Amino acid sequence: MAIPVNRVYKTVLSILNKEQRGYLTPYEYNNLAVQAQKEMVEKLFYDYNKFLNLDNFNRINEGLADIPAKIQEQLDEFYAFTDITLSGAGVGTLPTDLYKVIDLTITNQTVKLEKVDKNRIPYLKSSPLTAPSTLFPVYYQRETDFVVEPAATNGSWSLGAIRLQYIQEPDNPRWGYTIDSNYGVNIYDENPFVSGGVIIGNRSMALVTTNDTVGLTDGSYPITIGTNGVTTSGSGSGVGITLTVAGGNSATVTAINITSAGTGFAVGDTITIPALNNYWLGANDIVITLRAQDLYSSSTEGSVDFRLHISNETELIITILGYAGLTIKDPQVLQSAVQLSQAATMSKSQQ
Amino acid sequence: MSLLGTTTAEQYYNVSQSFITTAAQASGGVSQGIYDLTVSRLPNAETDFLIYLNGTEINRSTYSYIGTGVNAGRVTIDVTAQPLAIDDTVVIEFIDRALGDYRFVSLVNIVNNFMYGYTGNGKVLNNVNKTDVLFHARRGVQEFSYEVSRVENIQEVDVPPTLTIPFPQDYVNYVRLSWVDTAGVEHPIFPARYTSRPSESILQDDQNDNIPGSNGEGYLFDEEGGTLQGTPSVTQQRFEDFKLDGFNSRGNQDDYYLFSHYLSNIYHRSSARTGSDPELNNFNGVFIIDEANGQFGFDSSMSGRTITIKYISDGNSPQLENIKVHKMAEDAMYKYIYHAILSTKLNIPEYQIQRAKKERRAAMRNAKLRLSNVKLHELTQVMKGKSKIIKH
Repeated sequence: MAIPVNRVYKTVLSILNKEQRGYLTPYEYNNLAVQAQKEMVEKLFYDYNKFLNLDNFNRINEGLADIPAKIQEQLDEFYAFTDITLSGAGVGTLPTDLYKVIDLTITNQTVKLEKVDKNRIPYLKSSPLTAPSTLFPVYYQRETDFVVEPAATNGSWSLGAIRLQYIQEPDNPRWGYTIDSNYGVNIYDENPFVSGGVIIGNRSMALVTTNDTVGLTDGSYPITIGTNGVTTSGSGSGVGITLTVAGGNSATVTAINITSAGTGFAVGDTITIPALNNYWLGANDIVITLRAQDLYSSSTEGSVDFRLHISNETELIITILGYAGLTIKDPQVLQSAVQLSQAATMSKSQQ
Repeated sequence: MSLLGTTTAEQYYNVSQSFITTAAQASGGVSQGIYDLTVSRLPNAETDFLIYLNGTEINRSTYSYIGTGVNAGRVTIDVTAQPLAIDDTVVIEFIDRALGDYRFVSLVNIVNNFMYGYTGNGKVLNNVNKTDVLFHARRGVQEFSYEVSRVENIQEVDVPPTLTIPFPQDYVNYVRLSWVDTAGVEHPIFPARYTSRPSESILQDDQNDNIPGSNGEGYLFDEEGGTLQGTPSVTQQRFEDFKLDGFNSRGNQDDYYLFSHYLSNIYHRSSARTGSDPELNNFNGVFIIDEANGQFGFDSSMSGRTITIKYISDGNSPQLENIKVHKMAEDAMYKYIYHAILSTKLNIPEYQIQRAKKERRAAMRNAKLRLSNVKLHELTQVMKGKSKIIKH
């Protein structure tokens, strides 16, 4: 239930363009969108706590009026989990997209690991009443990893991998576009942005740096790295390519279409389709060389929607407008956005 | 039958779990590879059970077992080492027989139940560390062991010629010491209040005054400057040499409690000592509690006798899964933990703590009553003797 990045951009532009206030470029919009999403994700935690406090005073009702549950649903959009194998020293590596830990358990979730302050560890370990055990394990967190007790102390851990449930840092929203060659306007690209992925769709034949012109068989041929001897010089994988061979007796590769973006590709990577393993080729291998304009990472193409819950859309637009007011130096926009935001906050607080 | 838990009747009464092997349990082929069986009762290790295939025990090296974690309870039989076929009967026989366990709830469950029922958003305790709950739960087990569900451990030993036996390893306090006669009947032994075991027995020279700087005490010192100690102490030695039956018939003239105090009454009439102290009027012997050294001492009449020591422990164990609380005290345990946590948190209104305290006290009293095992018909039976005439 993500919020479409294009819809928000259109709404923001339509508000800003009223009375010719100004124009927000895709680049500016993308930057503000990242900032606005981060701000709103962080705010959800405080809202959740605030409404739980109200709940503690019996000021929350059930069903549709259960606001903490609603905010929890908004946070659920960012839920993720991963299973982490501990090293011999009881250390597990945290995922790079971790925003907030929900909890750590063993993978069947029957034993929960409790987070403890690092300065409490000596007390815990030295008392037989509180010493960590496989039934009541504890952990403490570091910058990029966590340490589990008793695994760190005795070097053994019989409970297997650790399941980390967490709030994931959302991908940056991105309004991707291509530029219309006739009119010079930006055209929204709804294809999903994939970092290190090859841009989906029909691509220029300039990609094919080594073609073959002798002995090819007409047809359309799907190519997958790792199949029929197809290799890459880089570390990319998962890309789906369809090559079209046409021309009869003087057949050659005439078109290249990317059907799936794959991941892990970089500019200059080559993909080689060997003639030896592919009956439809002639005597020579086909080589595809990736250019900057073929990858999402180095182009304006590919979009990422906001990961926020759909119910946050209005607040999101107001937040972006607030930042946009600063960008286009229009105090009226900024002031209006602030007022709208304050009104929304007050409305929520008067539960 | 109402049962919480997964232990089957076969596991409980027959201490075993039976399987008929199926193809679904086999991986790597029916006649080779491995068979996975899952037992619902969880022994700690392979050494805690035996496996019989069609009535014949199979070698322990042919199977493995996982006791904890995600795959806890999985028994894997290596079919290449121990051939199996479909529809074979595999019986896993547990070595330990745990009878009557249903009375108890484990500490692990207590903690988990408490975390779920009492803590979290919208609960009475909104943010509590599990380690805190565990600490108070284990403390609670100790307190309950002393106060509510007193589980008496009984150790049987013979009194050696040294007249000293160590406290049991998990001893906290004694309930009763008795010696056992040839009929197996226990005779209570009482603690001696009129003697003790000095923790220090300082050696002194005969003159007590000829050592320079001794101020006349005559204390003797070792090379490191510590006092020299007599072992055993004179008090202990004299008590051990003393014949307890002298209290009634063969005392020495300088035994204060025998003669100075009761001199006129001692041989007043055979088997009677009018005016004597009833505490001393028994032949069962006495014991001394040597708290400093963690041992019991006995008078010389106890040498060679078989005694039973009934004592209480603190209910704890290094293995958390072995710590249990009687179900009749389960609610009291929750109340105990709740009060303990509430009273150690900051900024909790005092009335709330007091209310928790009252609830805890009431629940503990209730649990104590339940566990005191007062049965009406047993009470009636005992009270029938009330009408008997007591002859003086």
